[in-house]
Amino acid sequence: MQIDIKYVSLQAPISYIATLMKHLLAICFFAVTLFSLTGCETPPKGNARLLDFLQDGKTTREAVYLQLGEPSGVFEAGRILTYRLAEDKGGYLLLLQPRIGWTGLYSLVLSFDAAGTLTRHSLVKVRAE
Amino acid sequence: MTAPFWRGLPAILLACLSLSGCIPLAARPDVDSRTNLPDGVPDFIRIGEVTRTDVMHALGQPDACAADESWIMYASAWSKGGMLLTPNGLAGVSIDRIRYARLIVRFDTAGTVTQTFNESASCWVSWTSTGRGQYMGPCIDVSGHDVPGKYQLAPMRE
Repeated sequence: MQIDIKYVSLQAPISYIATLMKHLLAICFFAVTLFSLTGCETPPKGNARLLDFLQDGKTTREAVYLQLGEPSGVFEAGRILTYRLAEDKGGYLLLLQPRIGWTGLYSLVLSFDAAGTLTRHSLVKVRAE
Repeated sequence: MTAPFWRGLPAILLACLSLSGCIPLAARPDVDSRTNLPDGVPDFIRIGEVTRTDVMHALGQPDACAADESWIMYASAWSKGGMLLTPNGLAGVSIDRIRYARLIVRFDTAGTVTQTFNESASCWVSWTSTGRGQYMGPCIDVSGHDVPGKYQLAPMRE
């Protein structure tokens, strides 16, 4: 008889914990779903006017560093600088240099003369969307 | 008299593949590959006329470069399609037929093009669920680490 009482007294907490676990799992499922859906609503971070300051014959290398930061590539002792850019609905986004491969869509190539003035700039589409 | 078991092997294999999840993969560019590298050497790259600046303004930042900038390399990888095998609906192995291509442009000390190397090859590559790829046979190294040894060129910039 004593054994039966113990058996009954243990069943209630076990079923209670099982129900609680089910509720927790349901809450986790809804939370994950909610986070996934809200991820789709991330506002654009791009800037449509990011490159407007670039003018051949006027813009200096210093101005480029101040506006765009460290380039992803430096060639010919700084006479050629390159930046990697992505694009969203808001405009262009600067990307950090990945070790290998292209995650962005564009390569911005800037050439300077000996005085450090921009002589030519090209926004090369490297990847199709 | 019963038929030998191997006669039914293709049907068994087909059934297993269907049940385990065998998803065809469409042709697509590799996830982090450039797509602006044309087949062959681009027409605008004329030896003795075009400079490093011209090449970079046309094709963008190179994928590899010599430490002394005497050569630069552009590479692309394009999947021609393949199969994703997902046993029991779990992440499995994918097998892709990938076309690798690379263009190496060599310059003189003035930065003018002196030589070009163009090569491409299609290879089978298997990918595990951890994202590790394994060539199934000889292929092209799109990282460019083999370029100095293969073409007797200056060491690569790391």
